[in-house]
Amino acid sequence: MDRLVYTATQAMTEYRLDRQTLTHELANVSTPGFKKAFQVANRSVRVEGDGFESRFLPRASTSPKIDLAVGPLQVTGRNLDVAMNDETLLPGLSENNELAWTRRGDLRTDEGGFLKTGEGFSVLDDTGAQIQLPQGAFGFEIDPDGTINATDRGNLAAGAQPVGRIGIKDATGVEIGRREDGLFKPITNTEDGLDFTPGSGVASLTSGALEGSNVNVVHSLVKFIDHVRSFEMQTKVIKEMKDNDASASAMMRLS
Amino acid sequence: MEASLWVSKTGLDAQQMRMTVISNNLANVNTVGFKRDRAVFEDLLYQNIRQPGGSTGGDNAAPTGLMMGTGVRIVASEKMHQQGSMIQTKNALDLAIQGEGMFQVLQPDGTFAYTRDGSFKLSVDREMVTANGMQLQPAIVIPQNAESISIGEDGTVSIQPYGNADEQVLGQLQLARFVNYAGLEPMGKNLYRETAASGAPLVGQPDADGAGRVAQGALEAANVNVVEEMVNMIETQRAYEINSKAISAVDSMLRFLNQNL
Repeated sequence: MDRLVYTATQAMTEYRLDRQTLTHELANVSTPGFKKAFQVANRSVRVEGDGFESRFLPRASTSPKIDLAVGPLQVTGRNLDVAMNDETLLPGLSENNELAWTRRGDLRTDEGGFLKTGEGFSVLDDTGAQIQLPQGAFGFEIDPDGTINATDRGNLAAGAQPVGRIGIKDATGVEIGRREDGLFKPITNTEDGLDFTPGSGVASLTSGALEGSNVNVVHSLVKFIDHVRSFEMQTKVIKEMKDNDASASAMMRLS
Repeated sequence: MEASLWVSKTGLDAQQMRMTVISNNLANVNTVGFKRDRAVFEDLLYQNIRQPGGSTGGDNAAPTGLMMGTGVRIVASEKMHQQGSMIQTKNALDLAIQGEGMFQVLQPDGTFAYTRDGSFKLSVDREMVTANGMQLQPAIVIPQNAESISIGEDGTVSIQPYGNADEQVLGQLQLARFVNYAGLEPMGKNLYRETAASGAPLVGQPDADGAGRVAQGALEAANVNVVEEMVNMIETQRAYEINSKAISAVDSMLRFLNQNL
C-alpha cells in the first residue's frame, strides 16, 4: 500500500489533540475567568527512509501560552466579585503551596475568614501572605487597586478601613501559560516560573462584576467546521489510496 | 474512544446542572427569605501529553509542550446572601431583617437552624413559631391579654395589655450572624444549618454592632432577579447547544470515517 496513507493517518491522529482543545474551550464557555490557549499548530517532521524525500508527517504542538484577551463583563452586584481589567492577574496559592495566578474573581471567605477564589485557591497579598479578613468586620468593598475595605463592628464611627490588599499585578508583555490545575504561571521571566516582574500597564480591578470566559463561540465553531472538513479530506485520501490498491489488484488478477 | 466526545459531555453535564440551579431560583421567586444560588464552574485538570524539552528523535527536543484540557465541571452551587426587597404586609408577626443576621429557630431534634423567613405565627402555646411550627429562639410567648404587639428595630417585643395603657416588654429577639454566609448548608423549608465552612454563629441583638435591623409588618422577598435568571437561562441554553453541536460534529466525523474506510 502506498505510504501516503500513513501521512494521512498521522494527520488524523494529530487532529485529535486539536479537536480536544476545541471541545475543551467550548465546554468552558461559562467558566468565569477562563482563557483560551493559543491554538494547536501542526508542524511537519521529515521522515528519513527509502524513496523520494516526499514524506513529511504532521506533528501537533501547542504553545503553552494563553490568550489574556478580556472576556465579557457580567455585573453581579456581589461585593466580593471582582473582574480584572486589561492584563491584570490575581495571585493565588495552588494546592501544592506554590504561587500561581488566576483571572477568576468570584471570591469568598472560608471558615477562618481567609479569602479564596471560587475554585478554592487562597488569594495572596503583596507580600505573598494569605489574606485573612477580620472576623468582626462587615461591609467588604474592594477598591480598583485591590485594597479591601471593611467596617469593624466594634468601631462603627471609624467607617470603612482598609483591611488588606490583593497583590494584583499587571502582566502586559509577560508570557503567561497554564498549569495542570488550570491556574496560570509566567513562562518567560524566571526559571522557576512562579513570580514575574509587573508589566508596563496598571493593575486594576472592577468590583461587583465577573469576567466571563474569553472563548469566542463563533470563532470556535467555525474552526470546528474547518476541522471536520479537514478530517474528512484526510479520510478521503485514505479511501482513494484504498481504491487505487483495489484497482491495482483487480488488474493483476488472473481471470 | 474519542476524548473530545467526553469533553463535550462534561460541558453538557455542567450546563444541565446550571439549568437546574436556574430553574430552582425561578421556582422560588415567591419564597419568603429565599436566597438565590449560583453555579460555580471550574475547568478540569489538564493533561500534559508532551513535556516541553522532550526528545523528538536524534538530538532534537520539542520546543513547546502539549497540554490538553479535559472539560468543565460545576464545583459548587453558591448561595448569594444579598438583601431581598421588602414586602409590606402590616401583619404584626411578620418580620424582615434589614442587613445582616438570621433568626434562630429550634428544630424538633433540639438543634438550631437559621432562617431569613420572618413570617412568624403563634402556636397553641402562644409562642412565636415559623410556618413549619419551629420555635423562635429565644422563645417569645405572647400572653392572651395582648391587644397589640409591637416589635422594635432592635428586636424588643412589647405588647399593649387589654385595658391597660402601659406597655409590657416581653423580651428581645436575637440575630445570629456568620463569618461566611455562603458556607451555610441550605436544608430546605427556608432553613439553613451551621457548618464548618460557615463558622459558629455570633448571636447578638439586632441593630447593634453592625447586625441588621428588624422591620415589623414586612417580609423579605426572594432575592431572585427574574431578568437576570432569564438571561442566564438563554446563555445556558446556547452553551448547551454549542456543546451538543460539538458532539454531533465529532459524531459526523466518525460516521464519515466508518462509511468511507
